[in-house]
Amino acid sequence: MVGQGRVLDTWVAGREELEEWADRHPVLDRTERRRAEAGGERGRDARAGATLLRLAVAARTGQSPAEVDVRRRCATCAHTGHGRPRLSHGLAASTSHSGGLVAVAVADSSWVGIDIEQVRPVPVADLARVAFDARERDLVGEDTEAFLDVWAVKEALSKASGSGILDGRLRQCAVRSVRPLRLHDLSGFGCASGRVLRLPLPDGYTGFVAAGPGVDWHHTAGLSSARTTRLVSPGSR
Amino acid sequence: MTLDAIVAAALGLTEAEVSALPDETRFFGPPLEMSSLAGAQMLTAIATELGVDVAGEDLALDSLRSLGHLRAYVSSRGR
Repeated sequence: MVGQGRVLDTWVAGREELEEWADRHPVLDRTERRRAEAGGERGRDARAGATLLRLAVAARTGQSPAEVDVRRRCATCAHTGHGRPRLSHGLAASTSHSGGLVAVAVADSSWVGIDIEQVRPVPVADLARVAFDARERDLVGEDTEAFLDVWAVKEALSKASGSGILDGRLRQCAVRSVRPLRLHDLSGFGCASGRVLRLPLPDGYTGFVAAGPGVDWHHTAGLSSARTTRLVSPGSR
Repeated sequence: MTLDAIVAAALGLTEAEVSALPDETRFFGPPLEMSSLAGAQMLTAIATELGVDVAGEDLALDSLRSLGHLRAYVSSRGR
């Protein structure tokens, strides 16, 4: 329920499952439909992400998914057709998609960010040079899974702080160790007391959510057989 | 390999489709919807194929603000 403390809701669902639901329930607004019309993988991801966002917020507020008021404004270019979603009821949200999986985080704090990554071959050393601090490059070495873990952590932090790769913040050192996950001071990401939590995801995926301290975390997996789990928010700094 | 071909490969588009895009087209919003990881992969390809180390020289990555910014940046490096 809104207004009863700091609550973090995370939802994860398959893109095809969301598309099937969206075919039966036309809940997206004009802006969301326009993004979906981009076609291809981008359009499908945009449609599925917008659908899951509406479902997650509706479950939180008691509204119908079509009633959810989602506004966007890009922090970089101020365009209102994309960017971080802004919600009513004092809620903030973040979305991510990778490899046919979609994730959404909804919180009553604006400092929230989520990122999921399908584990697949990537040029680890080259990408780490683009985005990681030297200490993080040493941490991941040539390990693809470690690289994607660090990437997802930094993407989640970057989204929470309202930035992105555009301002180079991803290169700011954030990760002290990968397993277990330990972070450096996060004040540079706008929340010194923030936490980064590993999402329970299907095999072959990794992902994290960044949120403020002391949240009551609920995670929902799937739609048709949705299963909500109340998870402990560990001090994973 | 041309810059537009590299951008196209990162986005799953054809080079002709990218070449037809106006300079003001943004990478990280509609219609391209590029992910950060795809953006980083694009930068590594630009370094490998064109010899322009965008990530190493443009520390704020301002060149990724739009397709035109990136085209101008790579062009200014004389390649």
